Order: sequence, then C-alpha cells, then structure tokens
Amino acid sequence: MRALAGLRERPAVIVGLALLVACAAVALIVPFVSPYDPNAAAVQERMQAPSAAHPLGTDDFGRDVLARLAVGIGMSMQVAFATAAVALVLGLLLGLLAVFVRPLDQLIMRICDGLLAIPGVLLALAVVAATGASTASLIACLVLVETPAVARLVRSSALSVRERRYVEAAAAAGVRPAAVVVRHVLPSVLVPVAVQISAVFGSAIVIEAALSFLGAGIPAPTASLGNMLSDAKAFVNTGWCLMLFPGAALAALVLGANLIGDGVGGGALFRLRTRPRPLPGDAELERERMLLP
Amino acid sequence: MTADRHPALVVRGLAVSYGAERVVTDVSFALQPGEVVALVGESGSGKSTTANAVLGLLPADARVRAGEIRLGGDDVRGWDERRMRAIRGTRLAYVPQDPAASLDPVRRVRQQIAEVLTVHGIGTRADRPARVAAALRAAGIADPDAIGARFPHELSGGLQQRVLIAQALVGEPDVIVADEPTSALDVTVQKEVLDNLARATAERNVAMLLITHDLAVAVERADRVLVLRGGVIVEEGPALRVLREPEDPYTRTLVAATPAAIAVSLREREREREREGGESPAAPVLSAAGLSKRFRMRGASGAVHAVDDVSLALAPRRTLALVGESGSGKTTTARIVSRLERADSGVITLDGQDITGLGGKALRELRRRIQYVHQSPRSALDPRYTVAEAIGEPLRAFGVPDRAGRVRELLDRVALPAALADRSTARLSGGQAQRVSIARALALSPSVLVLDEAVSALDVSVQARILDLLAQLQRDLGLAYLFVSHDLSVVAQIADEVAVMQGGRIVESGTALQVFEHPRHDYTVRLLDAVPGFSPVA
Repeated sequence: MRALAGLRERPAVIVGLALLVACAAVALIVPFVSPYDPNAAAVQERMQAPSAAHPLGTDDFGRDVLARLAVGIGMSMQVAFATAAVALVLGLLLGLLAVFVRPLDQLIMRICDGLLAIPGVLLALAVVAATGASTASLIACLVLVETPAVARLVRSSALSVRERRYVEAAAAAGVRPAAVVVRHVLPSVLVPVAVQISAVFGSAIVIEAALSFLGAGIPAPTASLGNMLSDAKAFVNTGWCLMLFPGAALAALVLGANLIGDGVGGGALFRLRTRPRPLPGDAELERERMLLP
Repeated sequence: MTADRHPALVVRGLAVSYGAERVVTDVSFALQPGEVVALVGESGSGKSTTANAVLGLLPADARVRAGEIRLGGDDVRGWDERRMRAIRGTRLAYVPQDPAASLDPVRRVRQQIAEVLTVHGIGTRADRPARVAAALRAAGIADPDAIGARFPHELSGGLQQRVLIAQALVGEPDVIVADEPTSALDVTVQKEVLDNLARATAERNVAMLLITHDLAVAVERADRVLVLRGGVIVEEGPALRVLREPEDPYTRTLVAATPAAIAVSLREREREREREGGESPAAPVLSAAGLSKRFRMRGASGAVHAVDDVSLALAPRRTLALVGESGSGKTTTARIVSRLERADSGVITLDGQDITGLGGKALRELRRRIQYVHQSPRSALDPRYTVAEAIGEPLRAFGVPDRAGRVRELLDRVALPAALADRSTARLSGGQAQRVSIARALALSPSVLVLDEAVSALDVSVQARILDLLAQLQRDLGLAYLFVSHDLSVVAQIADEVAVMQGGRIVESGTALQVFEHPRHDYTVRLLDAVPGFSPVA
C-alpha cells in the first residue's frame, strides 16, 4: 500500500511500467487481431512500406513485421522474466548462504567471481554452443550470466545488515537464526536487489537479442528481436523500417526496465519533490513532550 | 585588532526558521573579550543552530532574522559567503563536535592547520611551521612535530580534538565557537581537553561560546551560562548563580541531574536502605568467575586482553554497575555474561546452573531468563517494525499466546501510550525507543537485565525518567540489573554496587557509596575527579 502511494512521487516508475505494459500489450493482443501468420512467407508482398494492410510493412519474405514484432517482443519478455525470476531466487539463496553459513562464503563467492570474469555474451555463447539453441537453454545460460552479480549484491547488503544491532538484538531476544534472516535481513536486502533485478531484466533482453542476432538464440524461423535485426541489416539502405521497429522495441523494453529500477532505488534520474529536511531533534522534542505526564 | 570598548560578539534578537518550523525564536547574548559563555540545551533546543547562525554556516534553506550579529565593531548580519569566509578562521573560529569526522583523513595534521594560514595569507611561508607548532602546543600537544606529521586516523579522539582546537587557535581569532567539543571523549580525556581549551583562550584573551548539553561542564567552565530550550533562552546568569539558585523549572531539572545533586541523593538513598533494615543480600542470581577474553588484532603481534580475569556476582533486586572508559572491557564483559560472546575461559552461572557452554536450543531457552538491552536504542530496533511487532518479537519466537494483550500490558509497564503500538520504530524519539527496548526485554519475564549504556544516548531530562522507570520495574518485578556505563553521574543514580574496570580488569568494587565517597584505587580517584562538578561535593 505504502509502495503504491509512493508511486505518485516517482514518475520514472510510472513511465517505465507504461513502456513495459505497452510492449506486453503488443505481444499479447496482436497475435489475436492480426490476420497474418508471423512465419508465413508471401513473396509477392515482400519489402512493403507501412500501409493499412501491413501497419509496419513486410520483410524480405513478405512476412508481416507487426505480427513478427509481437512474437519477438513476447519471446524477449518471457526470456527476460524467467531469467530475472530464477536469478532473483538463486541470487538471494546463494548470497544469504554465503553470509550466514560462513564455510560456504569463500566457495560461493569465488565461483561467482570466476563467472563474472567472463564477458556475459561470450559465456552465453559458449553455453549455447555446448547445449544447442533452445529457449530453455537460452534461459539457463542467461541465469548463469546474471546470477553471480545478484548473489554478490545480496551478500554485500546482507553483510552490512548482519552487523546491525537489531539483528543481534533479535538473536538476544531468542529468535531462531533462520527467522532472524527471514524477518530482519531479507526485507532490507530486497530494495537493492529489486533494482539489480530490473537491470538483470534489461541485460537479459540485450544478451538474448545479441545471441539471436548472432544466430545462437531463438532458432529461426520463430521471430525474435535479435534475428529480426539480423535479417534487417542486409537492407539498411532500402528498408529502414525493418531495422527501426525491432530496434525501437528493444530500446523501449530496456529503458522501461531501467526506469523502474531507477525509480525503485530512489530515483537518481527523476525526482519530483525533495523530502522536507528533517530538523535535528525538533520532532523528537515534540514527541518527548507528549510523554510528559 | 578589535577596539576594547566593543564586546567581542553581540547577538540580539536572533531567529532562525526552516519553512514554517521555528528552531530559534529569540536569542540575545553578548561576549566580552576573554569571557567564556556556555550555551546549554538538549538536542533540538537550537543551540547548534544558534552557533551556526553566528558563523554563517546554516544551510541555504534556513531563514535567519536578527536584530544584530556584531563581531567586534562590525555588524556581520547579511554578509555574503565571501565576506564571511574572510573572517572565519581569522576573527571567528569554530571547534566542531565530532573530531573524527571533522578532520580530512588524507592530509597530515600540520597541513590541515597550515591551511588556515595559507587561505588567509597569514604570515610568511617561512614562519608558518612555527605558527602551526605554537598552535598545537597551545592546544596541549607536547610534541607538535611528531603529531603534526601524522594523519588524523593515527591519533586518539582526545588528540584529534586538540588538533581541531589548534586549528581554531592558529588564526588568532577574537571569538571561538566550540560546539560540544568534548562530548565524544572519555571523562578523563574530556577534563584534559577542556583544561587546554580554557588555558589557551584565557592566555590569548579570546572570547568563547561553549555549546554543551551538560550543565555540569557549563558551570565548571564558563563565566556565564545561558540555558536554551525550544529555541528560547529560559535562564541566564553567572554560572554559580544558575547552579545554586535556578529560577526556571526546566533549569531545575537539569541541576537535579548534575553530579553534585546526585551525590547528595546517593547518600540519602543509602541511608534509606539502612533504615529499611538492611535486607541481607540474597544469593546471587548471576555470577561469573575468572572471565577472560582476548581479541587478536590484525597486524599487531599478540592479542589484546579485552577482559582479563573478571569475576562478579549479581543479587536479585540489585543493580551492579560496571564502570569504565572506552576500551576498558566493560561492554565485552556484559556481552560475555549475556552469552552474546564467548569467553576464552571462565565460568558463568545463572541460578546455580552453568551457562558458560550452552548452545543451540538450550542457549535459546536461556534468553527467557537473561535479556540484553543494547546501547543507542534506535539502532537496536528494526526500522521496518512497528512498536507492537518489536515488543512482540520475543513472544512470537517462543510461541507465547495472546501476544497483543501482553504487548499492551508491556507498553503500560514502561509508561508508553497504547496508541504508540502501531507506530513505526523508526519514528520514535530516543526516550521512547529506549522504553520500547526495555519493554521488549521484559516480554519474556527474565530475572536478569543486562543494560549496556542504556541511557547514554539520551538527553539528561529523558535519562532521569528512564532511570526512574528502571528503578520502578526493579521494585515491581524483582529484576537484577547489570548496568554498564561510562557515565558516573548516571551510575550514582541507579547502582547499589559498583565495579570499576580499567584495561580489562576490575580495579575496584564495592557498594556505590564506598566507591564514590571513599575510592581506594588511583584510577577511581582520577575518574571521579574528572567528572565535572563532582569533586567539590563528593
């Protein structure tokens, strides 16, 4: 509830959400409305400019770009959501384990460091090359690329929270160790992690597009933003729309995710109101007075 | 520099507000050259705001109205930042509150002090080192060359504070504004630093505005005292007059909390106990024998003895105070006894049961009987929790039924309104947060409370109310308190027995009256002597 009320002061979150909702709407609605099969070639209609029949034109096989774009956006969002969700759960688990089960700390963190040392796209390419291109293996390798950063962040936030007095106070009050982690540590880790997860979402979309662009992502002929761009690059000079629309969709998705993350994390980009400056002790004095008999 | 006819500093009709909130409403005072005037008040009284207004250091959103702020012959009211900057350091100097945060960690001490000279173009390049050394010596640093070459983090808190004083002195100002210059220091160090400051200002005929929350410090160090409350001066006069014949009721509560007044009440309390017929102290509920704890320091060879062969016994319905300065091992001892930390050796028994090696389930069960109250109450409460959740947490951990009812009962016990239950703990005042912490500690009906600096973070008048509450709870519930504190005047108000710690050892212990009136150990004598306003009476 409080989070909802806070939204009004954070235009970045609203804009970001609007972008993602608009993308999702395209992905969900277009396939039902569009008369075209996104994969059906129609050679007579190839390379058409936007028109009433084809709002975003057609590609070099005469396929409807709007229908393909909807499928591409849908694929990207599915992959990104799945990656973010799995990376969130795994990252929280590994990060908290590293902090609260000390023998595991070094082990988990050195593995994360090792994975972080390899460039993301390269690592993903290697995994796809080993397992073959499919949506599931794509998600798996994106999780592998993204989880270490989440785990590291969880660990560093949880480390500082672990040293807070109220964590020890809870233990001193007789609360079970697992309950201390769930009730006191987890909630304070969630905010920075939420920001990181939005970045994971954006980065998953970019890496997925890059892999598809290279032909190692979603296998053709299924449309994805990456392979649409890859197809379009041959026609940069003649069919600019082919490049423009998937590119714009990609930008909208990543921007949307980043705006949400920025807004949730305190909004460095936009802030409507600055908080009133708290006066040292003044409100406190007032409250103390209320206590006087 | 200043014509002698002028007072060093005159402030008339000063008012500061932030938006609709008025922090200082009407403050007027004057400092003669060489005079020390203390501005006393609790947090939120507007004392630091007043100081910053004089210095022209208020944040941009502050609105300042003043009839007059006159420094020497000049009315500096409305001067812009550039003109103020020219006089700050040369005519008007500032000694800030937190020494560790007020020094640049990456520059050597002498560079930081010389900076005052270079920015104002005082002296020549050649004679600046001599000026810096002289200022350091005046601030009480015997070896200015060695200290000047160090970085701030290589210095103790007391030395850091002296460096700040040297920084204020080096520009040879007419007025020094010192904002809580010793609040962060141990009493014995506090005394030395204040002595240095007093000597240096007297020698140079510098007027000083001393800002403090501690009336005893103010009375001991200042010629005149101004008591500030809610942005208004409620009392002013010569220091001794304010102490002996306070007119304002608020000043009277402050005076009642000064060590001198406490020493009197300590004697009365002791006499009362004797009159009641000296109940023979029962068998101890908690005892510890031969506790030792070493911490290995990184880089240093060997280990530091934080606690060295400490033994103590705590009887029901009694309060044992563990007294010492920072680093004396008092908190570590308290944490070992409450089983938050493990001792290297020694035995702890609670109700005859050896609790030294308990772990897992048995340790958790132990928490029902011994509870620990952390220092700085606000940080010991999860800011995401409401008051009811915080107090109910131990009840929930042990599955106590009717949590809501018990929480209401506990709120009532610590004299908090039931309406507070749903408030976030982040929105409590210091006093309220400490009451909540105490209520939470009482939730499981323990027999021992370990209170670590339980009132140190609170204003004096709030301290008094929390101490009253603790005494009341002890009478009603038969609790035993292990009370850890660096503040002897607080200890005198609550302790039955006192153990004085130094360097990890207990150097002296006995009843409160014995220790305070007839200290035997040198260190205890020194400690008592350093408490402002204690020695003349006790």
